[in-house]
Amino acid sequence: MRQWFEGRWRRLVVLAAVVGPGIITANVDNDAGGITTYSLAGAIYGYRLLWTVIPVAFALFVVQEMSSRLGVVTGKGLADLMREEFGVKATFYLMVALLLTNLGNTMAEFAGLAAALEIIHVPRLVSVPIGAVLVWWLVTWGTYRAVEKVFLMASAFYVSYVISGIMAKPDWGNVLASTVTPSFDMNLTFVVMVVGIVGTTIAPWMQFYQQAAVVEKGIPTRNLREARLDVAIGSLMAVLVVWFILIACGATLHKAGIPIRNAADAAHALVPLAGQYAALLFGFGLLNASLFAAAILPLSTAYSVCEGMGWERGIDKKLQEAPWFYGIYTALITLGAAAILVPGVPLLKVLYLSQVANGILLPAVLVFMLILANRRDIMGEHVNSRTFNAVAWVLVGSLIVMTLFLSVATLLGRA
Amino acid sequence: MAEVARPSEEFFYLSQLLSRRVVSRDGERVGRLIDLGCAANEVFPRVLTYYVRPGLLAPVTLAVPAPAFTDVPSETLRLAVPTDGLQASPRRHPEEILLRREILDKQIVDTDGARVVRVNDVHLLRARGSEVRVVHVDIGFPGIVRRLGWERPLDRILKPVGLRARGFAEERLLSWRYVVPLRSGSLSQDLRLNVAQHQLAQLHPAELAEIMEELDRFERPAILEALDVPKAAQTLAELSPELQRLLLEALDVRRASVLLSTMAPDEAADVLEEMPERLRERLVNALPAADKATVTDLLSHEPDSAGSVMNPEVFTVAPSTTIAQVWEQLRTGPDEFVRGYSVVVVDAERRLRGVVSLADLIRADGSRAVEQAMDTDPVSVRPEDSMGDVAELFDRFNLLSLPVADPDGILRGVITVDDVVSWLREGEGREGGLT
Repeated sequence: MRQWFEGRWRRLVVLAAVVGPGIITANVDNDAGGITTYSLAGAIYGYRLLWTVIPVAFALFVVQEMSSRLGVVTGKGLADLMREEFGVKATFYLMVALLLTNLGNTMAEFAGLAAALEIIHVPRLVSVPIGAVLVWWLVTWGTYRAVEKVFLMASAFYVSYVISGIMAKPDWGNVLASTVTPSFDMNLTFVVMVVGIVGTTIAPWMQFYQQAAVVEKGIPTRNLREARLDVAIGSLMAVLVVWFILIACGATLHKAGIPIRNAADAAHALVPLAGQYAALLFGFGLLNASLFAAAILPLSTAYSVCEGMGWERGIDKKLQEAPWFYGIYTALITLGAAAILVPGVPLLKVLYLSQVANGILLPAVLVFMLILANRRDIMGEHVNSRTFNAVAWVLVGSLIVMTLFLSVATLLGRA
Repeated sequence: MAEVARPSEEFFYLSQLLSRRVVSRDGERVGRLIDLGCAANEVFPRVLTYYVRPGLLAPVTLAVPAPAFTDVPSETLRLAVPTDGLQASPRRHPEEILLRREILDKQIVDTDGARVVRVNDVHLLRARGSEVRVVHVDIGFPGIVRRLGWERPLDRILKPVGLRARGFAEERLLSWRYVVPLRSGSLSQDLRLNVAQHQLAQLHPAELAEIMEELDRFERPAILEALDVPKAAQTLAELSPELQRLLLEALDVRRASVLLSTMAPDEAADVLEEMPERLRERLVNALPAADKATVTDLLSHEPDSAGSVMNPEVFTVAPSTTIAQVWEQLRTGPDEFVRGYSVVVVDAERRLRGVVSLADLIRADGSRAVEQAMDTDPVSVRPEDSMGDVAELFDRFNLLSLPVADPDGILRGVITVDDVVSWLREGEGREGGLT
């Protein structure tokens, strides 16, 4: 009995040392863009889209588990592996697409930050520069361990959505029923919304970030199981937040028939329906998510690009040693923040372009990952199993179709 | 066909050769060139084998021994040997290094610049007829531009303004002499070990430690294995505690204990102090008995106390020793004897009697006893005293070394100024700092 207890305890200790990358990655993808999408989905369709969280959780787990496993087994980052196995050409164009997508995403994060603080009447001319400097400072001064702790804390703040969802006093029976019964409309807006929920939850940069974080942490192959659990917990946490946002907006905005355009609108509209605090919590969640993603995105992008191209990288390097790294990192933050502040920047056009780049990038990244995870000379005994492959290829196939669809829809100006 | 005169020597790039069509002597299609195997143990490795894949999905690779082609480099590679003599080669030659599989696009250690770089291309030289050798690796930006196929289009755009694509960024070629391949497995093979060891041995342990930070968890132990034991131990001591942990976990316990017992005991204790309890126990138990006792003793002191930092192995002399005898011992003894720039004098019970500085020793009369030249009331501390106090003493008295004695006056060890400096540097991250 005691032995059993000690065994349990040891596993828990090991888990605590491994936990992090999966949870952080899965949470950070509920960024400003994601929260906007979920709010809109909840406001327009009420509880009808609640069922999507189950397949999304599953897809998220399959993709992130693969990237975590690649990192643990090879000890290399994704860009590194791509460069070594697929050569400089493929890597270079992928990195250009990654830069474009993530520039757009960074702008969206700063837009989210501005919107969240405008709820409590902080003008964007104040909030955005402070946010940018804060992000820059945190990442360039902190060690990985310290930064990870801040990030894990930020992950915990997502609980604000859970609370505001409960404060919205939904009809729980109805909520649970809608979660397990899929409903579908064959019209374009509905399909775009479904694809949008999936698309904002599974983004290409997450694969790069998670694998880098796993490598940085030096998780050994014998702890593969704990790393998998980390990914599973992260995926569950992430969709739980999606679920509660859908509930919060569905129980209030949809019921009252209030149209909204973005997440900040949602927070505003919540005041009379769910009370001041629910609205504040909703806004705080948006602020947290935007800052969190704005801190990780530019860093992960600069790191991946330099890794793929073989340039010096890392926050422990001096500026003269790693000019490309700091150049890309700073440019992303500066451009991302400037786009919100400078009037006349065609923000929507940039976001469209970034959505299209995303549509090209995600299929390529997923297919490359699947090929790598099946290479016995790289993965040894940890290659994908046959069942995993069957599931993963079907999943990746549908993700590719969805993303291409979203890109085309975006280009046609329908989304 | 008209013979075109060719220069006897010519430089070209691996990327210009790979994927070229290979045809038989009669011009029939054989396949495409996919890799080059070189003699790993040569200073500028000669190409030994050309690997040809018959079709995109062909399961076999054909190995063609050099000189394989009538002309290299050329648009189409025409075989110089009959096609039916080609062998399917599933297994590679053990002395061979594969340029595409193991070098191109991979990270290597540049021992000239003491850093890790990525190979954008491999620079080859055709010399004396058809012999091809590896001379450089290309690590510069132009190499990327060339491989992306942008060089010519860029030149065409830039031509009207009188510029060339190459003019923007300098070509960076690194001589093969300074290249240590990293591909996991490649370092552990005996033949390459000599070459790699020789090149890595040129680097300072601090540089090696910096390189290790850039590598992945398979490459790090490989580098450490390629070094001789003293160098490996010094390198290990220079690493961050985080990497020390990862490496000591990955290494064979026996190898780890050899490295730890090669370090000075205080260094070994410093390393072990940062390790998680379970790993530390395992490593300490694997140490040779004498080292185990010393290290366990050091580890039993409170962290950040004088006892945890001091070096217990001290060169001491008896009070009656003559100065000339001390000179002799210092001259013939190991470097560690003069690490603290002073000599500690103890009696038969190892009680601390005095300290004499090297300066005083040099000036003193050789025929006199050392007790006549020594400082009979030296500054000393107890093992349990805090390092904060120790640092203050070093500052106040401008010390280079400081003996540590227990309450009975028995000498336990010596703290030298380098111990204090590294303790202070480690403490920069600690809250509060010194008071």
